[in-house]
Amino acid sequence: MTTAKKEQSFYDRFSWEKTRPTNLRKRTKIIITLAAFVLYIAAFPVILVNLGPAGSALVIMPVGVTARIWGLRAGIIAGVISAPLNILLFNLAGNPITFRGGISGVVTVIILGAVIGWLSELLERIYQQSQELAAARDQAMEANRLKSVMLSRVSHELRTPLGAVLGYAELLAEGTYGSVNEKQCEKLNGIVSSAHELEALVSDLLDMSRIESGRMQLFPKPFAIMALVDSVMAQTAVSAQEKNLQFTCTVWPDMPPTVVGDPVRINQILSNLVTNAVKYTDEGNVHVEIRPESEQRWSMKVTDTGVGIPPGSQPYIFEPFRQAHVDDSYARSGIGLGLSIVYELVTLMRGGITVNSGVGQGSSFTVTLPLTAINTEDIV
Amino acid sequence: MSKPIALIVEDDPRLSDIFSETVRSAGYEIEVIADGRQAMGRLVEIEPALVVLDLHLPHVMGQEVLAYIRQQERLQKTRVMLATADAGLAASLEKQSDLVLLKPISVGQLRALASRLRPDEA
Repeated sequence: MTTAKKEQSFYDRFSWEKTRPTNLRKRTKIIITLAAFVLYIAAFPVILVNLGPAGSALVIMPVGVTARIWGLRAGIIAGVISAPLNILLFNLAGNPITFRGGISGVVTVIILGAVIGWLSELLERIYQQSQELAAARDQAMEANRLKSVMLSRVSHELRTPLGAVLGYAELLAEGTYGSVNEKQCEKLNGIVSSAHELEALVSDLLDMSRIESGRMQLFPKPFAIMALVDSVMAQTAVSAQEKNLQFTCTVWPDMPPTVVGDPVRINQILSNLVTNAVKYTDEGNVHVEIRPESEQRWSMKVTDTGVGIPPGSQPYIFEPFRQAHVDDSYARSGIGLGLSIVYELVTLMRGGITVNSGVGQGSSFTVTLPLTAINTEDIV
Repeated sequence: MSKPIALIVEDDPRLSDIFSETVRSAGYEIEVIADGRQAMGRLVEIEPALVVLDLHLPHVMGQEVLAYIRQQERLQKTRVMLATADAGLAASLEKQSDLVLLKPISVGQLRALASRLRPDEA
């Protein structure tokens, strides 16, 4: 403990902040300024002998020190003082300087003192502004972190009451607490489907907060690609059927049956893309294509004949809470997190995503992911 | 023949009520505990066939209860179903548990899985 205390006080005493010239104590500043002048006066005879009259230019040393420590005004004053001081020192050394030489010396020293003082103050202002910017940046980062933590906590806490709503509605609809008529059952199922929608929203918010705070983790393992695609197609088939859409899927024969990846998150990526495609397509078809791109990569492509994305919106569609059609007749429900979650998950998996779209020409999203195929026998 | 015992370890009374009702209808006798420490004490006494285990519990977290179950010789046959909203934590415990269910849990799904894990069905 004692050592720690000693280290702390050593650091405090010699910290950069306290030893910066402008932050020195007033007494220290005075001592340094006087010492600089005294040193120059004491060294003057030696300077004169070794360097001649040109050596008197070294008077800039005490003037510069004063200007650096005290700033612009002190720099000018030091220049004004040092000029007659220099003339006096020359006279005392029995080497008087000319009037012209004296004047030019005075002007030069005053200008140099002023310039150094001005630069010192400028440096100080830049330093202070950079400190303020760094503090503002830290504050913004902390606020962002707190927001993510809060969002994560709220989303997590929402799931418990949501589970109770869902559970009781399902049990009631099943007749666990007494018989219910057809109409009551229909309404209870309405509660169940609304709770599921709410759950999807909460999940998206939770995922986004995990991504933003860097806490999103992947759990890769071998999985059967066909089973994953089938499950996603089955989840969305009802919505596609309700809109009379052709809903098809092609898995290329040379696609390895088992790949390594996080099946939950890959399911989420494909599901988000397919759900979006169905949501924004009123007639025509939605097609899913799974194929190997190369020996190292495989891809999932979702193509639709829907409303398409205006070129102006395309650069923003992967940003959180952005929707391509917010104000037009193609606007759909949702909070605009689906594509940004897809983008972030794909990036986390070291994959890529591209979009090809035009208004009225449909859209095509292609996700490419690293391919690690394994033999089916290797699956535990 | 007596029914197998299912221990529901869940600190939210509404969820433990729903889980109890559902797992009971899957053919189990139910016992409910809302606290991780109490659950650890009760486990070896009743040797349940199934444990429906929440992870964020008072006093002792669910993952410690899971580790305890896996260490006990007498609980070798106990099947553990994690029921949690914490997907990250659940995924890291996937191998130690028999099943992972993410909240909110569908009653139908819970019943079907609990039936499948019943000793006489296995």
